[in-house]
Amino acid sequence: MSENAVPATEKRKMASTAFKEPDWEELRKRLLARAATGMLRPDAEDVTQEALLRVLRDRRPSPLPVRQRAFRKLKDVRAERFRDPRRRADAEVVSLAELREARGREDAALALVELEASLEQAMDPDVLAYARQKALGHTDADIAAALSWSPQRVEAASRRLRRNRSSLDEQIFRSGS
Amino acid sequence: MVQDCIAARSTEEALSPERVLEAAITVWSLLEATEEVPATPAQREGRASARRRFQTMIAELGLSEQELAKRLQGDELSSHAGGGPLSLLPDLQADP
Repeated sequence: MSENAVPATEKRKMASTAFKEPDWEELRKRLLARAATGMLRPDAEDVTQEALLRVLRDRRPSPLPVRQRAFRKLKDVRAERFRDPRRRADAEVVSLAELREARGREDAALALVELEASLEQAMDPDVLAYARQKALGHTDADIAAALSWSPQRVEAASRRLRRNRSSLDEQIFRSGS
Repeated sequence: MVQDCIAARSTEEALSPERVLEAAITVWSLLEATEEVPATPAQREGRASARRRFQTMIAELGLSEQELAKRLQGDELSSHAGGGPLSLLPDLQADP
């Protein structure tokens, strides 16, 4: 066997990790979050996009999972970007406090949107519509009239909503963590 | 497909101010509508923690529960009157 030959076991390992399809959107979010810690949002997006494209273009077999390769590419692209003297000259100074504030706002927004999506999956549309009316202080009779529902339908939505309260609390508490 | 996914930059779409506000209202209405549901002491503690977590999230966005209530009330009125949505949320797409 030549010095550069790859053993069969290693080849199998490389094949199993190299072709495992990752969750690209999730990976993009994580890369963007990492990139955004040191640069402005538009730059972070460009860097993330470039890192992902390089992963996709790179057809060389690798024993590393896609995720790990993507973070390495991100590091390379960021380094190249910072080395570029034109960009360095154009770089804007942003305070750490401003970056943290923007990051916190974005994290909260994402957490809320994801939380709503998981609640919508867990609860049927009647429960959500009933909750909106109830939150406005309407009685069950008002809700039946406003939504043109039968009293039985209102009662069923109310019962399902009450039953879901504990799981609602748990989902909210865990959101964004 | 993967390229489409990247190009769509769906995180930005998901974070449009209207989308985030809508999510906040959905969660708030569920909390508010079940406020009176009887609970054990442990459940009450769970509720308080969930409420605090929710308040922290909306505070990061510069919102309050009162504003969400106003917005929900406004939606209710505009849906009857055929009016457009209000805008309370700062632009999340704005540069930091």
